[in-house]
Amino acid sequence: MIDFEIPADVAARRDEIRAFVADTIVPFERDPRLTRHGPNEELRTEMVELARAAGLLTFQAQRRFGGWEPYTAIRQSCSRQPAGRRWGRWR
Amino acid sequence: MFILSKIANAEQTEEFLVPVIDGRQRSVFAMTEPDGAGSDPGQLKTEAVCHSGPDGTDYVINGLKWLITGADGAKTWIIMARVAPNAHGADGPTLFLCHGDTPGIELERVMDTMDRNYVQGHGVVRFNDLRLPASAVLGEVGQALRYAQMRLAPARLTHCMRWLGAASRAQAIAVEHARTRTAFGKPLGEHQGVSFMLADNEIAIQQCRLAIWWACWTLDQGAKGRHESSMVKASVSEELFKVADRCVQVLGGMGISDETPVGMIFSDMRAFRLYDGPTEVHKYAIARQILRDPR
Repeated sequence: MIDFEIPADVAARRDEIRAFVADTIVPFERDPRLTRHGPNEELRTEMVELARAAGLLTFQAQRRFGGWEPYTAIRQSCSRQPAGRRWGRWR
Repeated sequence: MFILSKIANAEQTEEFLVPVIDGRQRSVFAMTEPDGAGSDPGQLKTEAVCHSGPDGTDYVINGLKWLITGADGAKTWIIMARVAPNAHGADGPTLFLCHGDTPGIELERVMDTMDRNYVQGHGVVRFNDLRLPASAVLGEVGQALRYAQMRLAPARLTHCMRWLGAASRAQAIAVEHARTRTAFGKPLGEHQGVSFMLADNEIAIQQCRLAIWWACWTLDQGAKGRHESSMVKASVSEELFKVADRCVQVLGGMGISDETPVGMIFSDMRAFRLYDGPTEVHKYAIARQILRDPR
């Protein structure tokens, strides 16, 4: 049966992503480079570099590419939700 | 990224996927057409004509696509086209992989849409005698719809995860507003009409979270989860849209402005009811399944 207990390592990742989004990404919420056609390349690039510096860029990738896979769907749901607190998808 | 990681060969992976994972370039999946492929990709009209000669086999692609997310500036392109019947091999819906600066890819315009969450929005793209070598075929000729199905369940669920995050952000802003903005001698949140909206949001967000976990759990058990992910995507998108709407309502006039991101999240959430299949297409598939296999 489904186990609702979130493993400690997953919770730690979740908290890390949540803190990154709150501290680093949320300040871009009203950036003028967020246009009618979404974030422009300059804004995207700036946020990508911030995520890279924080070690959180493309965490959903397979381990051979530097991501966190093998990565169960449950684990993803704990990571992607806090990431989604700012724009559904910014890369 | 998902399709490439599952189907691309070693050379294609190195050339087209690794730069995307590294954040150096964006990818685009070009399927939807104005009068052809959409929720029913079998209507695909973009055609790839196979030519085979002494210099090898190549394909010439012509067609019009729209709602191509992130097309403007994307460097890794996955294109769905129907290989015409030919004397050289297989035909049918096929995925092709190429660079965005390949001659024959023409961005006609970027559409104005309600949603603002995707980098560079959604483009209208014409393929005008786009000539690609046989090595540009992603996977096998004729297998595009099968490959596209591989990503259905996980893609639906990652949409749900992201939008759950966006709804949580809107709710956090609404709660803060209800705690600090006063009217008629007390904070908004102490007015029952407002507090009930916040409570409804809290209930909906947690129900959505549990539903997503349930569908994820079925995938983690090894199931394809198509039925389950359809149920979850249909319900989560509808519920989170209501959450975003209530957040706008709590914020009052500020909710329809760009003073906070809540108005934008609301517009984006409206689009979420269409992304990766409108609710009604999911219900149609769910109903077919239960009629076929009653429990």
